[in-house]
Amino acid sequence: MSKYGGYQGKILKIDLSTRNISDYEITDSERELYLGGKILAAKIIYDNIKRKIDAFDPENLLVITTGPLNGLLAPCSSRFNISGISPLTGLLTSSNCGGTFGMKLKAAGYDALIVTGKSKERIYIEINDDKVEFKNADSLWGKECMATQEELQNMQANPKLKTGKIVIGPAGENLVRYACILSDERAAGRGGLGAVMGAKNLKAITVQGTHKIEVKEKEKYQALIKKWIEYLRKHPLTGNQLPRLGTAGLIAPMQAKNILSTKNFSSGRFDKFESVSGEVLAEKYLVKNSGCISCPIHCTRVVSVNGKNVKGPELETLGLLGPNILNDNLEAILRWNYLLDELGMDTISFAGTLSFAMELNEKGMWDNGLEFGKIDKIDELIHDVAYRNGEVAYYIGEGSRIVSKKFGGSEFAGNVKGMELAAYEPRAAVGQGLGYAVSNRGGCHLNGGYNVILEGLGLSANQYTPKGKASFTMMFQDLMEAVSAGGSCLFTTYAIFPPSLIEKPNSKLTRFINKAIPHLGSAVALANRFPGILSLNLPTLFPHPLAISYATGMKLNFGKLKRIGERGYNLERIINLTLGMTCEDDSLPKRLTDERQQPDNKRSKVPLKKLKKTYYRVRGWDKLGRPTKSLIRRLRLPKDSAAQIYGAKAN
Amino acid sequence: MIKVNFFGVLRLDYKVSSMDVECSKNVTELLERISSQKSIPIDRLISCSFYINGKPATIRSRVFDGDEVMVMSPVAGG
Ligand code: SF4
Repeated sequence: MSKYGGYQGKILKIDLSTRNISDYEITDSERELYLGGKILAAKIIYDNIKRKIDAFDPENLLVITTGPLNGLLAPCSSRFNISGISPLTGLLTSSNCGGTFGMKLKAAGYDALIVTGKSKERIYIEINDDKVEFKNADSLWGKECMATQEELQNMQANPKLKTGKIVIGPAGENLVRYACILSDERAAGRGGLGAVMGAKNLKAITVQGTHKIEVKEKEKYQALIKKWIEYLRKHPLTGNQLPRLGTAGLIAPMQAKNILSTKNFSSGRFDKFESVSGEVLAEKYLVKNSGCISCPIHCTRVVSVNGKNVKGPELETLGLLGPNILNDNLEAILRWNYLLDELGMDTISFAGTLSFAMELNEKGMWDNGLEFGKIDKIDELIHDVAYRNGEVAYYIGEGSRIVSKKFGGSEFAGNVKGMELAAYEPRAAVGQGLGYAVSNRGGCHLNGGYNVILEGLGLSANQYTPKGKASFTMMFQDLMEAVSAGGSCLFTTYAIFPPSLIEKPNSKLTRFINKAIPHLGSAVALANRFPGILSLNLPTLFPHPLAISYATGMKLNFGKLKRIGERGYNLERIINLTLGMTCEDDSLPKRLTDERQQPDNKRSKVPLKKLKKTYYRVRGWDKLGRPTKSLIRRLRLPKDSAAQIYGAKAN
Repeated sequence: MIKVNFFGVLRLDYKVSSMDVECSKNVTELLERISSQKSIPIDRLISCSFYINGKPATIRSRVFDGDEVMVMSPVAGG
């Protein structure tokens, strides 16, 4: 039980080996410290995994968590989190998903679900409020993601009542290291947790329930939500650009700013970028836009593939299956995106491994028949990867790090810590480069802090200077961490930029701010160090802490939420250090740090050494990138965490 | 002749992806011509970002015959 609203106060733990079902206890003070979502999941994983384990070990956990706003009709609040040890990185991964599973889990009376062990038979789990059943999944095994979900729906006692589901496709069953988990059409894409489900012989989980969720200050909450939705609908990004162009609208500005990863991250521009842009997508292929439940933004593209309306590609998929493999055939990308979803694979990691394989082939390091710009065999390859047919497909299903260990080329293998990079070429956005390198889950743009929003995709601060970037990286990482833990989609945070800054990029004020950003590093570092100075609420620009406060009864503000994010980020770091990560792993492929992107621009590479040094300092980490003992105390992180990373004598 | 390519929601609003414009002065004049030919309010055009042959430009930048100009209404995020 919990004294707080917004929570159901109950966490369900299921051991697949013993089929034991139990309640997992957490206290209200843990809720205050770790909030929910990916941060709460990190705490659960920290408490249960104290040594390096293989991702496919039955001991690995799948921790599915919600945040206090999930299910309370706040904007974009269907998003839930899945965490575990990643088969790609061997480290902690967390992946956010916009399907209905999280809301339904809460309706069944649970804030989170922990799955451990390994089932002997292929099964799925059916949860109806307190009733948990293990069901045979032989008839579902081998089925694609949508067909699996349809069948599961039809098998419900009342098939008309939509149940929450998470499922894996053939790629998860066959342990493709970047297999994803789908809920409706939305994917928990990154980190390969679909393969962890596969290794547990778990095809799916369905959930249904009848519980209500308490809101502490209902009237205030509803009034705030109403205003929040109105603001998001009026804001130029969340009310206009994202609904109309989706994230795909970024292809053109990325091209303009040399940030569009091209030919396996060897350049930031692609001559034929327009063919795969959000504008052409909207003009030629968009059937309509849609969105996750309770989302007023509706950034999702609905497109037609083989006469069927399906979810269209995000920016990452367009960039990495377009320019990064020198492909300008948008129709093919729509098809591949759909296929990858159906088979249950992360589009980013597949595409990043593919472009790397193409370059290895071009350089004569791996004779695999894959060539830049040649796309006639990609459909077949996608199938083969999911079913692990043949050597080439098998290795592509292992991800670019394992491929580079086998065939060489690590200096141009586009991954960090084993996870493939997103579509932003960081040599023209060096703060984003830092973010990729230090991100807890590997080559992720969001967990990396999304500095690129200051470096050309929103504001236009100097793309090449390292100045100020470390402080902003920390600030954004912590905020996004906490927003995600609260249960909101990260896109709600874009509204923090006042409309006039976005709408008037040439105004004196915007130009002044762009110039000032690199010089604000010290001020931001101060706010990072003493978030108490941010003890304020911005009900319009950043209503998240206030909404969580009204829902739960906690007393949050901007600074306190930021602190929760910082705690989460450090806890994830501690878990990774426990799992064997070192500061050497905070790295980028050499191409991005040692080779100029533009021959005539000597600053067009990521000065990672310098950025990392400053970042460790502003984070309060030692030279080896470990949270110091005083930081651990200050953040009220688990008392034994110092011993975990410094050895038993640390306490 | 200058080739102008449009991006961002402006392109969807005015259903214009590209056009050829006669202009030998600067971006401001180019925008005025676009505005009158396509009935796009000049304020809307002035708040865009501009790139001439792939290089960032301002409303004062010179344009020359054969240039390719990108006019992009404000875009952010992702
Ligand atoms: S903005 Fe997009 S990703 Fe976020 S909740 Fe809405 S539809 Fe889902």
